[in-house]
Amino acid sequence: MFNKILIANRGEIAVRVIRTCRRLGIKTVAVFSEVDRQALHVRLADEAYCIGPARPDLSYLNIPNILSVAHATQCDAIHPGYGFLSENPTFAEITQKCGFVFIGPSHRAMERMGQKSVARDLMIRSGVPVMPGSTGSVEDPEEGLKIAHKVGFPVLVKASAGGGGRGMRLVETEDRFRTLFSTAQAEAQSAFGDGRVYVEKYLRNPRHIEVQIMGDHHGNIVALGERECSIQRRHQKLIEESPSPAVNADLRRRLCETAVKAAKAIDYVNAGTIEFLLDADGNFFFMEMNTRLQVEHPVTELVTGYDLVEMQLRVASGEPLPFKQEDIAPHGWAFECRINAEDPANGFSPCPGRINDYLPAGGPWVRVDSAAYTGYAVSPSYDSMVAKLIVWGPDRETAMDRMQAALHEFRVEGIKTTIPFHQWAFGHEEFRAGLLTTGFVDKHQVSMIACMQRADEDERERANGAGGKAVEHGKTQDQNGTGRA
Amino acid sequence: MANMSEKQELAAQLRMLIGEMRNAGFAELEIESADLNVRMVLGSAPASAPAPSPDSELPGKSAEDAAPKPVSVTAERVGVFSFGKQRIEAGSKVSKGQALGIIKGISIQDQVVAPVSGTVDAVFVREGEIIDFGRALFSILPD
Repeated sequence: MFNKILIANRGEIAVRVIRTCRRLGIKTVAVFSEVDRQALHVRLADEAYCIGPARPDLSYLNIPNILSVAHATQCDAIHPGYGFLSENPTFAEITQKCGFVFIGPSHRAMERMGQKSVARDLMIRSGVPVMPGSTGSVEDPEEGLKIAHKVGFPVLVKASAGGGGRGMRLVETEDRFRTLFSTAQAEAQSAFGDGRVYVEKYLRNPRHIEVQIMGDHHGNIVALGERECSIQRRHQKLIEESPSPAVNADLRRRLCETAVKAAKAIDYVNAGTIEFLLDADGNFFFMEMNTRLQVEHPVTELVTGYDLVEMQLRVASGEPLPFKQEDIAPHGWAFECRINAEDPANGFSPCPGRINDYLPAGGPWVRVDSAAYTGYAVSPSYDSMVAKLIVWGPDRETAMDRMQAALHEFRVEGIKTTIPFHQWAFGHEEFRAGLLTTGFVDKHQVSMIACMQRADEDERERANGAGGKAVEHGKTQDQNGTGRA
Repeated sequence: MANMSEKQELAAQLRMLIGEMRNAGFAELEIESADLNVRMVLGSAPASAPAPSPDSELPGKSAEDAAPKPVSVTAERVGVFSFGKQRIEAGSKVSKGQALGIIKGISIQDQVVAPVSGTVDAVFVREGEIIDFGRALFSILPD
């Protein structure tokens, strides 16, 4: 096992990694930008060094400075977290060449999964179902149109080098195809310097189902069950759960087998996630692979009982996985809510600023992964996630009730957060019935916004009304809550 | 660098203000403007002293003097510091552009050079120390 590692990240994920390292007796080195001097990961790590100004390209993406700290502090390995450099094959390669272990997959595996049309072809050849469409990229719009006819409209024209919806066009009808095909090509060229696009069938209102896998250096790859992440907005996940209410034992077995097959096709090592789209008839299609630890990994930890960061560290140091596929027996139900500094009543616009009062939820089966505290300022330079609230229950119903209770207790004052959104979702009958699709938030947008605005008004009334009385009332409730727990 | 001397400017102004407060017999002063919010309480309790702690790089004498203000030399790279052949100490005379030491990164060596000619009045770094971004290394009193 490692003696000391550097964590090339910030925020809750850096804190998350430090916590497991502390338990395992591994020393940690944090790096930070000038605006993060007071950040929690800086306080919790054994050592911490400033690597540049707030701008990510000058600090958290500054490969020479990060490696210089790792070198000067004699680290054995680097954990990239998620985001920033975590899926940068060049960083993974340089890290290895400089003599440090990169806690993640090989740079070759990252490269192949990063090119979408390459990954798609590889999956087809490995017998993994992909959305019907072209084999490889398409240059000629006439050829693209032929494929569109074959798979049926609507279709997506997607940039091969793409991500985040850029260079992607939804084509509903034949007459719009040629125009939108060239728009996608032009956008891909300007955004990624690579104009290659491919065509695939567009699925209306699918579910987002993903499978967590873990591979070691001894040829073992194990699937740790699925997560459902259908509650999203503009491809940003908001609520995740494991297991999925749409997956039965037979479908779970097929999803897991397929995910392992996909990972084996690239000799995958360490933590990874295979994302699928699931249609209403139970057919699933490979979407992409994330070659890193995911934000939503805690729901898998709560139902499987394994610490995924510990597994990452063990596997990276050369140990074999301590479990086999047949040992994985998910138990109960877990949810995660991403509490972001955003205003859900106002198009989820970012609300950075200082948190005057931070009181996270607690109690049995409640976990909070966060780097926030009272007085912490959410910086506009980085993503807006303040905390992840994760709960476990023996069944979905109980887990939902626990989440509602925990959301009620969670206080983040001074900035707007997505807590009211989560309260709305966990009270929604379709959500409670497990009727989820990636179109859920858009479909219920009007009622959601109305609910947010009502909550806002209530808040204002409380603030304007008997202030002292409200505070006292809140205190009494707290004491009761603690007593019950 | 500009940022550093701005801070020193502010420190000097605050010191002047404290002197004025003592002279006038004020115990407490609060200044609020668009870009500044200062509350100063004079007394023995150091916890309530709002002015920046007296920086060793600042001369003890009053800031009204036309004396040159010290220039701080900060690290713009991350790595291990080494003085090299000649050891710079407080009192060393340096000329603009002169190497004061090097910061060794993983594949880069960066020279730290004197931004002005003058006398080194403080050395904040030790041989072999790990230097992070923005760290103050030397203070130089310009000629």
